[in-house]
Amino acid sequence: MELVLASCVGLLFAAGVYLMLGRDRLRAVFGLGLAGQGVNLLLLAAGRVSSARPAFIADGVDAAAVANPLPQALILTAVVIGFAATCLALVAVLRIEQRDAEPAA
Amino acid sequence: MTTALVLVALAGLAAPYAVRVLGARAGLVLALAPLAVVVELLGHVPEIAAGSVVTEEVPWVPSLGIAWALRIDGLALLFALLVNVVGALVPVYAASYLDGKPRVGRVLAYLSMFIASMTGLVVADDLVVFFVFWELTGIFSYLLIGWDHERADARKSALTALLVTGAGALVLFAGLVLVAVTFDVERFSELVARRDEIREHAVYPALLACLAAGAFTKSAQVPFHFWLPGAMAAPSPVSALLHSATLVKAGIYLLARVEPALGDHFAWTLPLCVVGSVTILAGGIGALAATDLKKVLAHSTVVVLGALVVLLGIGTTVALEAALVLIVIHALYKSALFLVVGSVDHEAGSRERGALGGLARMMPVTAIAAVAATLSKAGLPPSGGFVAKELVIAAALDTPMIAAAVALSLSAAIGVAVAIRVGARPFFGAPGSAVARHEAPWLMTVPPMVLAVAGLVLGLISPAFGRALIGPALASIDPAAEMPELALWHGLTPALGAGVVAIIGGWLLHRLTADPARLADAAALVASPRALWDAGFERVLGLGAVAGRALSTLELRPMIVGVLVTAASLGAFVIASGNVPAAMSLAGHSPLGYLEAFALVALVVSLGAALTARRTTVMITALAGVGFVVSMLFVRAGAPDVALTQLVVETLLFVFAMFVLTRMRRAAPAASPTRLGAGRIVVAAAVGLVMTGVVLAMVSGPLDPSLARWFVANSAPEGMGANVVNVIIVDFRALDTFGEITVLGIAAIAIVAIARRTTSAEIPALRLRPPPFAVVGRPVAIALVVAGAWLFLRGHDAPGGGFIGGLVAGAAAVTGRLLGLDVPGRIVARVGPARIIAIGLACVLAAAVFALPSGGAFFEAKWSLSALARGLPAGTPVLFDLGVFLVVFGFVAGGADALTAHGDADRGPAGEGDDRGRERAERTPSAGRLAEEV
Repeated sequence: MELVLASCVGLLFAAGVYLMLGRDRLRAVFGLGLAGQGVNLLLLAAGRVSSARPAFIADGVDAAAVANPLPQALILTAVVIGFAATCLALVAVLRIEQRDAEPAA
Repeated sequence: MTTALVLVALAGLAAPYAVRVLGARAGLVLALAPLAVVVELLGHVPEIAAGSVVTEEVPWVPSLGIAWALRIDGLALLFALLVNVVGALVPVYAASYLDGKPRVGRVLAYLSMFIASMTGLVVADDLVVFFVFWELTGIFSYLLIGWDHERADARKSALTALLVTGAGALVLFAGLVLVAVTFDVERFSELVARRDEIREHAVYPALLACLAAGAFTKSAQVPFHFWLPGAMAAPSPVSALLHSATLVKAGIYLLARVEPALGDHFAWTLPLCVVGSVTILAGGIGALAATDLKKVLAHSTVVVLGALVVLLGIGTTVALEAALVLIVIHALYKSALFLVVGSVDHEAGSRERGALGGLARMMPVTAIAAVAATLSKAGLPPSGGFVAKELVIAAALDTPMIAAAVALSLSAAIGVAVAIRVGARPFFGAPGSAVARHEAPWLMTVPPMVLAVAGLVLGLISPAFGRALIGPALASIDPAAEMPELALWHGLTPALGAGVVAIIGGWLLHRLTADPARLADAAALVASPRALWDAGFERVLGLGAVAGRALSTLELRPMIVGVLVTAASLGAFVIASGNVPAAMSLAGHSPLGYLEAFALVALVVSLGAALTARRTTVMITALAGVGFVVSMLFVRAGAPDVALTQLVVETLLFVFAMFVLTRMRRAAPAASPTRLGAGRIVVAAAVGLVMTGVVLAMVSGPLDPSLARWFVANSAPEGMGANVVNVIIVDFRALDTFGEITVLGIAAIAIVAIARRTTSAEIPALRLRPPPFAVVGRPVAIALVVAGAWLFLRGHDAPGGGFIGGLVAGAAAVTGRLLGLDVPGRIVARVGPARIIAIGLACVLAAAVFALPSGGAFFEAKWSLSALARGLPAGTPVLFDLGVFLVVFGFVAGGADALTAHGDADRGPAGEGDDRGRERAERTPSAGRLAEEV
């Protein structure tokens, strides 16, 4: 699993950087979003993928046998924040494109 | 006292609503809060006069020794009373004075919060708490001076005041840290006991310089005196409260507060006397040269502040007594005069001293208040000003420093001249070119009258005033002092004779400088520090521009590459320190599951599709695929909550991106994005490789599992939840989450603001109405709302929670927008996304402070165990999660609204606000330009 995660992080970053370095602002925004997803997976890997069992407390569940909940909490909020940031960047790009399209006053 | 402070600050929050409901009378309600403080303080007068102090203490940052420590002694009581008495009257006046102007509610809100901050400043015992309040007063002063922010000079004056006092505050902070570090003292009250040690210590001169820098900038001493006349850009009532009675006395208060520990030393006396004397001179020249009555008052305030500094520098019992009496009396008459000038300006439309005369006939009440205040200002019996002036001159006659004595006497004479010009000339004699048609409304005549009469009455009851307030205040500066009884009549003393001379001198000053041109050169000299400051400020901005040109290429891509190369080098460092081959072989042992293999292939395919897509729509679709693959990995890693969030976010982002695209109307890609640039590929591949290596290096090291174990072990017993991830978000790390959803709220506001400046007039209504959608749309939207609520409710124990629930419910709003449904659009429209977000943040804050009254910590979770036993999730984390739900929902609904709103006609009432905003942007070029650059 770690090897897969490491490859995915690399792929997401490579694609993200490729889009960021392009000429198109809209694609650059999405490139940044891809890199952000790469960071999320990196966080996941940092907590180690020891178990596929979610961290829910129930009778008879061994605390050592569940997935590490801390990176999950960090990623969950990061996903939403990333969403907000991407939306903001999209609207900003929209505004910039419209301004560029306007005849110079 | 804490409760009272919070009450005053909260009254500020209510101010805009009070103005909406009560209009010009709003101040009457807002005055109640400071009045309550006055009542509480008056209750403390007997015990404090008897020599005790009132204290309050709550630990704040115990590890640093910082506590919310309040301490009311005689000095604090005197200042706090002054702040709140003037603070109760000024809002009454201000609401009427500003009636009909824009942003009145904001002015009143800032006024209330200023009063709370200033009261906090004088009752704070802890050095850090004191500094926090010190800064708060500066910030509210900035906001109030810059109230009329469409005027460039108001903005500039506000900024100058903020920077001058802020720079001083930084130095002051250094001084306070120096005290704390060198002497291990965190309280003002602990300073006195260390007096001898402090005065002999090597840091004493540096300490003194730091504290004096703070005091001198705040209290407008030369060479920092120039910000105060500039602050007159604020409305008159604001000047009355901040720039005469309270804010500018903060520096004086600080000096008086540290005098017992630092004073009575030539390094204290000499600088204070010199700076104060020069300030008297500079202020006097400014006051006599100014023709705008408000400026005259501002400069004369500088004179009094100078005199106060001289008196504190002299530091004898009579000088300290004189300073304390002068502080009170000056605050009363000067704020009254500011209000009087405000009324004159309001009714006659001018503040120019040459244009005003004979107003007493039309404005009799204001004229009486003016005369009453003038008696004090000129130091004529039987006013409190007479008592103050007697004491000042007595202190001057008592000191061996001739120059200081002369300066103090001069300040008395200048007071007389200013009194004639401001309090008498506009109201008597021949009418001027500016005439008033009627008296000011009663809301504007009563406050100055009360203040002016209070100044008179204090003179008449001076023995009682001395015993109740001045004596205890003096005792907190100099406990050993034997204070002579305050009295209106001391007999035929040398001070009385000198006072008569000062009055004659003041009248002569007035006559000699009647022509402003005579003082033009001197006034220019006095004003020169301002030019120096402005030039220095421009120079700093210029340096910034130079640095910016040197560092920025103004091109995005080279800068991105720069950041990436730096980051990749650091990454290479990480790789070198880890054991990548070990990780590779370790990973080799665990078999590659078919799910992982599929995910890897799917990721490669969808990324490839995204990178090579010619059409943006195709790219966005492919990117949604990427997101889905990533969420699959989350499922595989035992993170169902994250996977759910990611799925909903990808869906919403896809829809939002399409909204944006429809508005962009790009037929073909702007440039060929598929053209392969070799450099671009190399950089991208290198960064990707480095990141892969970083992850492998990271996982090759050991992980301390104690943190994860702790969360899993404590989630149920401490956090009352079975879903550990949710418990972490809403309880264990609630402060983090609070910050994050605040960012979400800010992003929502920014999106709405930017989206309003975009157009989509030529696009037909963005609504899909093919039959199947129209039929199933409503049930789907309703189901999404229900699902969102359900996910939220179960979140503490099962996958779900506020974030996921809010996103799903938000999806209902998006669906509604797409299909033109009123579910749940109508509810959202009625409340408004911004208000939903605000309510959400309020829930979160309520959950945060819930435990405070019972002595708990910020964000400490509280549960009702009896309700839990009955199966009801009654606890502050649930309230917190509800707040998260509302903020996220508000963000999604607001974003959908902003992006689908098309054409002003469809936007309804919001369109009007929009036009107003645009007009304003056009009127203020800098704001418009800023928005353009955004």
